[in-house]
Amino acid sequence: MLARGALAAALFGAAAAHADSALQAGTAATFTALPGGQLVSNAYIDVDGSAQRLDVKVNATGGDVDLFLRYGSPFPDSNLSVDLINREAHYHSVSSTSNEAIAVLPSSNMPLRAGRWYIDVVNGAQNPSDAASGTLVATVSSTPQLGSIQLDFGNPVTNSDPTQSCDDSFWTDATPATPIGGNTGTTLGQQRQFALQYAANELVTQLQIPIDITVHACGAHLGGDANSAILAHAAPLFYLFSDPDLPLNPLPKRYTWYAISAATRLAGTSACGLVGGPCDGVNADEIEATFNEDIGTSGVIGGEKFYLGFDAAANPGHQLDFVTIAMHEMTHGLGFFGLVNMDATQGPVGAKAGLIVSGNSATIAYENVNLGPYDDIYDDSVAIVNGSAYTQFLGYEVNGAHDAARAAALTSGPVITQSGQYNPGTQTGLRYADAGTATSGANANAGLAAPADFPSLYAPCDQSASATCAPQPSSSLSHTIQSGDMMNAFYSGLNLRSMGLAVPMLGPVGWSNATAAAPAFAVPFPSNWFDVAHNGHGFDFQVVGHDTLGRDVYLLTFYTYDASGKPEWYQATGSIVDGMFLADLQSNGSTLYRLVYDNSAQGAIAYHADSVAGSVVIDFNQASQAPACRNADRSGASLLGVMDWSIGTDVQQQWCVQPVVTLAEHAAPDLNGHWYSNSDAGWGFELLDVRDAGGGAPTVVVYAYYPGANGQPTWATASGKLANNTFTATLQQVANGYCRTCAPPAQLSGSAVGTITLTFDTSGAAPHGNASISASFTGGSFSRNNDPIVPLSVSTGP
Amino acid sequence: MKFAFLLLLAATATGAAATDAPLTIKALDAPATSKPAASVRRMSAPSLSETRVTRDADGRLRLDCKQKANPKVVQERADVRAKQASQP
Repeated sequence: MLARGALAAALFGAAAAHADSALQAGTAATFTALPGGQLVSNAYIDVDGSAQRLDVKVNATGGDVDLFLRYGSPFPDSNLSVDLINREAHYHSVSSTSNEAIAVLPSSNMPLRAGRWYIDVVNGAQNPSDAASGTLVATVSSTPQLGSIQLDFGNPVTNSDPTQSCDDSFWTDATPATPIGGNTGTTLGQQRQFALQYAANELVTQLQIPIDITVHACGAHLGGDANSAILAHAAPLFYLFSDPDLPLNPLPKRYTWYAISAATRLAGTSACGLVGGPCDGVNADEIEATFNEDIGTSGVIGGEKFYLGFDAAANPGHQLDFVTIAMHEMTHGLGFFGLVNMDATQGPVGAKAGLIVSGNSATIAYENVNLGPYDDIYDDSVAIVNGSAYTQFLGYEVNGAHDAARAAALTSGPVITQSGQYNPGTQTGLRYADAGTATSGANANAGLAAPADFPSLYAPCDQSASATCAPQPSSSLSHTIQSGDMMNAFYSGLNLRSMGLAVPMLGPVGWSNATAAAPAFAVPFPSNWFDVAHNGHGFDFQVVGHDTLGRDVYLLTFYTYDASGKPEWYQATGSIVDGMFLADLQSNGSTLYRLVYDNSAQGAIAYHADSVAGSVVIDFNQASQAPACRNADRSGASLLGVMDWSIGTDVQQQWCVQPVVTLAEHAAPDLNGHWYSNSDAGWGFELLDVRDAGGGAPTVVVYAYYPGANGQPTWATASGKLANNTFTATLQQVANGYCRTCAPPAQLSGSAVGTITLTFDTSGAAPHGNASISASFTGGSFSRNNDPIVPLSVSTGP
Repeated sequence: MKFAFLLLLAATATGAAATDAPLTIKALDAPATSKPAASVRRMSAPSLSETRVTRDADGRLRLDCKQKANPKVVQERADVRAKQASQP
């Protein structure tokens, strides 16, 4: 394949010493005329153990400056791409402006702790002449700081359906008003603004929200009649998840929906900083809360008005308490919301939410999705309780296997009849199984033995419409049943100011201020890896060196088939960073590339990379949560990874890979690895050497790669027993190979194409051997006789 | 693997303003086109929480939070279904 010397030079020759730049806390560093496509590389700030907050900000004019932050080890300083920098970043702020900010806290996913924090500032402008000038400053604080909930009273939206409009005049109503209950506003609009800000401040104080988030505050004509009316509605503006195609490393759970407000808190930046795009208008908002402008008019609830005072005790009692309603609704907007489907008209009850993607747009769906379905972070803490036993509401499952169990749990509470009777005090089988919530003083069940101490969630068996037990869409699951709790589905007239259970329950959703443990990243290991759903394809994954930071450098050889089913292979090298394989960028812009041979297979082999664009990333972290890993039962796999690859027009494909052989299954002496001839580079093989559990001869499987017809890269496999350090077997090629995006055949079949003979000498410190291979293909053959071979692989670890 | 490729490493260390920390400036080796693309990895809230007030027979007001499908999402989904139905 490659001359080892050349490979070593490639891997290590570019290992220039890092030219890192120290920042002084609180002192701005200036950059001037940073061209588009260039970056400030590896500035850093040292933080000691007393730090409670690290703020990194860049403020610039011109260009499109983005900010990236990484703990512990520097960003790469060669083969640089925004994609690679972003993948290695523990935090980023990538809006389309040149003003970016990141706050890191002890409770962040990569928690603030003593050590060195590295900063890259990239001018992502396409045109080099679009230069940016500005300052970079890092500030360290030893005391926690509170953020704010800012209210966006502007940015009205007009919709032909007035209930869908956002009317800012609700907040500017000049009708004179008498100050009441601590609200000093002198007009109705002013009192509404003050009351909403009071409610927002209560949330900030009680949750100790450390960052700034913004609520799009709206009025709308939501109507009503003498006996009923909508008072307000709210929701997160959107949900998002992290996966290998959009790595959002601040989010602790991959492949899991987060409300944007909670995601920005975890990311320590703004919504636009986290997901990109402009930061103006509603793009800067995380929650939308809308209040009914018709409340207070004569035809609606008898003209009943909102009570706009801050002081709950001053409320005469029969009025609609604005602050309580606003706190309840905005708490939903913070992510107090389960996303499992409860509406049979929208899809299977109990199903998780995924997306139907078409072009650049995506729409939520609960079935027939082409992206997902995904867990959501609220439901991640929910349990199904049955007596003293309980199971996770979500959990690991294959193809929605637990939809029915979730559906049953969603109706495990008391019956609601046509007359609407309901006993709200009855515990349900749907509980919030979070330890912090169970022990919270806000929990009336605290002190009971688990799972009885888990607070119940609202989960009635609604038979008001038919004899069939149905959940109440979204009223179930996303509310408590605890009497007097703000997030009780029925919080009538309580004039609450305490968030109650919502404070601990929002912890695992993203609002916990407890010091977080440093994330534990997966540790992959050399083997042949494959996806059981794409059997017959696979890749050799071997350590061939270590980078300047001591990280394992892997060579990946992807054994696969072209569009017509012919065997071919691709290749990549890269380092393991935080449990991910991040492939090196090549000068042709690809990270996964195909070699083709330039000359006769019988002479010295020459080759070059062809022009097919390719990329590969493998994320070994939390892969069992990925939809790609839930299309088949993989519960027996020792480790899973999500291989995200693109080749040509097949883009962003995600396969769930697992090892064929674990390290514990290696034979002794261990011949596993990638072997080649260092005097005849261009062909070689992967060897799996598996010990026999009964003490017999090891089983050997070989994947050999070599030049095929017309210089095309091809491969074949052989298997058998290793006897007296010798292995001889027939080379087989898969005869019914299938394209990477095609459905696999019922069974793979092979045809003999040649033979391979290997002999090994393991008597010395460095194993070596000889190989003979003879393989035929249409129009020619490839053969070698007694080539000396050595392992290309090296040991893992520094 | 950089076997035959000579990667462009246009790294130059430049001094910033004299009073500031010297910053190291480098060039990207790939066009800066690969910002995180979030448009198809997000969704609007499928439901809105909705607090409603009802006057009971005894004249007292009762609040409850019932949530409803987000009208914007309902419309999006209807559009997708219509598109799927129109495809052969």
